[in-house]
Amino acid sequence: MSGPPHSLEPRPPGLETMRFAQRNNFLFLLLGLISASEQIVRVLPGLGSGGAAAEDLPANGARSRKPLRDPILR
Amino acid sequence: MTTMVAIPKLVIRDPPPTPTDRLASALLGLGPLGALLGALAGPGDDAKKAVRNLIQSLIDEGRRYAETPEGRRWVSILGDSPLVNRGWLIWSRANIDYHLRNAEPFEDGPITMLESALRELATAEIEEILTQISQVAAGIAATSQAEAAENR
Repeated sequence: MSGPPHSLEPRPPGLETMRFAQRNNFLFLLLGLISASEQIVRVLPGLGSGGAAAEDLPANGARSRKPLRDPILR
Repeated sequence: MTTMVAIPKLVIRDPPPTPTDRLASALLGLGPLGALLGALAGPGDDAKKAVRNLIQSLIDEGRRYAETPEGRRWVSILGDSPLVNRGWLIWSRANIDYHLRNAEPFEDGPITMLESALRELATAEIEEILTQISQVAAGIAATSQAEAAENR
């Protein structure tokens, strides 16, 4: 049986925290690109031929409707 | 008998704007499409600043997006991705955060200007925009030639 924690004070941010923040900035850049792309995809069909809405467009030329956000990078 | 010695007057001025500077400034006044072209056509320092501001804006947008349900799903997908690990290594070694320290993210997000430019491109009279760009370029060329002739 483990004992109680020796201190309830939060640890000061250390090197790992700094590295995590930097890593997150690259991750957040990717997330920002994804979000920006989604916004463009939402408006572009209406600006182009005025045809299909974004949710009706198949991803990567697929014949049937398919989610636009497949986890291809896993 | 005293001799008067003329003291030269030293005048320090910024160098005159180059034709590229003028073109970029003039394009900025032609709406969202012109603003985008102006950012691309600007001098080196302005272009570098624009890229840094854009990257910082995308990072900020990513932080906002990460709080949404869709963003959380992407975080769960990308969080342990080898791609993100490799990107982080390059990011850290190249000290990108240092280069972004003075970046000024766009107040209205990274995509607003591009979206506005696309909307303008879809609806504006394209001949009118082309005419405006040609007039701006011709005016700058004429001014530059006149200045060059004056300095000969």
